[in-house]
Amino acid sequence: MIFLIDPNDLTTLQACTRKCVALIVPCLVKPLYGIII
Amino acid sequence: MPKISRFNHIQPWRDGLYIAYNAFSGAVALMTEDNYATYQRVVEKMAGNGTASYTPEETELAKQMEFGRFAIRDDFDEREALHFHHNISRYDRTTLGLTIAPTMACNMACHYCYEASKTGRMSPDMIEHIIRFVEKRAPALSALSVSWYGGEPLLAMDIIDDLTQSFLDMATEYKFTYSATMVSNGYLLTPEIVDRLVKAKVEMIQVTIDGPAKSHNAKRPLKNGQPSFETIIKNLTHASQKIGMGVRVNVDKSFDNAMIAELLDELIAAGLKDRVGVYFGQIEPSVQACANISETCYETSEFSKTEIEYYRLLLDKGFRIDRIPAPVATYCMAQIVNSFMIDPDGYLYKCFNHVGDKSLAMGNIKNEVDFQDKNFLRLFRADPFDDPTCRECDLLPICMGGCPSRRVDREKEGEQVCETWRHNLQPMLEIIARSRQRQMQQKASAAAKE
Repeated sequence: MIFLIDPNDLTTLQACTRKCVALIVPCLVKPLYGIII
Repeated sequence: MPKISRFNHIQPWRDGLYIAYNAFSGAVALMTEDNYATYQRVVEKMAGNGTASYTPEETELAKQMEFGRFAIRDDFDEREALHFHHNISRYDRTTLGLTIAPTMACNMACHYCYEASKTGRMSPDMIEHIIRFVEKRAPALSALSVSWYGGEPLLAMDIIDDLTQSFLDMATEYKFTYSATMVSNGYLLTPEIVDRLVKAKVEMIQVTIDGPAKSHNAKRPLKNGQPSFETIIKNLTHASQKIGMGVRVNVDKSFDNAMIAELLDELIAAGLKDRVGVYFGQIEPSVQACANISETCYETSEFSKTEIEYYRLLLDKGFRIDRIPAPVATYCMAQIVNSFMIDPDGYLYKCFNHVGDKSLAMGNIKNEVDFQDKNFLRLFRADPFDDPTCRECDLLPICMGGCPSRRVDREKEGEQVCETWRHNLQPMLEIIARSRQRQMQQKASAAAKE
């Protein structure tokens, strides 16, 4: 198995991604708040 | 003896490879055909009575499966663990999340924006109330996370400066971490403002660009009718050197592949390919005021198909893919007691879409927070663990029941509440795998050169 997304890296990766996808503009709902499991 | 996770998704890919994804851990891995054959034998043995012996090859793969949580301890109840984390997140009082609209005024006039006609700016008195609100909670905090929102927040940069200074002082005194993000239209993001935002600890800004120049300028003109695209791109070029920038492209039925390709070419020409994260947003008629745009909006299932085509284009043009199916504990602020949206008049909301509509506020920051308020409870009650379909869903960790407002305010149910992942996980995983493979290859060749 080759890990393309290592769950141990996910905190960083998700934090980064969350910043990109968590924000929203009017009429849209895509926030992904919440703690990381 | 380990057992197989209920959140595994294994799919054949190209060149004899398989993509393995686990929604609980967020792990994505590639398996060769040999790996996959071994995987199937391991799954069979794990499902057996526990007496099966493993070959060295099977033992090695089982170890990797446990690492990615494709296999878990046999007494571990994933759904219970998920529910536990969900509840911790719901009732966590050590993190305070504030989305603050220091003004509802905007310098743009987007045709789909229900906020277009709103005005109003936060008064010094209201700024004091916000500071007191945070101060009261500060001793219990480990983190304060602020999102600046509006209106256009950069029209109230002085308020952002003032509030940030107070938040940073409290962070030092009470030893909690402080972070901030912003949603801005990008028009006022001049080098001077960027420097102030860096000082204000803003780490990430989302700017919306609705298609290539001609489309964006038609959809997102300034209030005086002038175009905004060129200025925003120029600002992004500078800002992206100092602050993380996300470019959101709002998609409705007026878009096609050629328009997206044209926009991506424009971003490449501006040198932004490796400096901004691009993603696609679904425009939804979220509140009554948006009814005028409902005919041009996609339903989620339709949007899911379009989204794949646009992410493929993004990949083909050499952009990285930031959208990944990562696990979350809650969907949004509506499900979290310590997360609030505050408008310039101090009204508190549990949904971005409600900002400015006082009939949907759960109270005012001047008063004690009332967790029995109907506008709080209406959305907070939305609990995926109460929904039999969500409880059984193998994607629950990445969606957590989807948008509570879509479920409650718009009375959507079944798959209408599901996130796009429900409809397009398989092709999206292929796109993500290609993007990650490319990133790993680039990293390896850069390391080889050193």
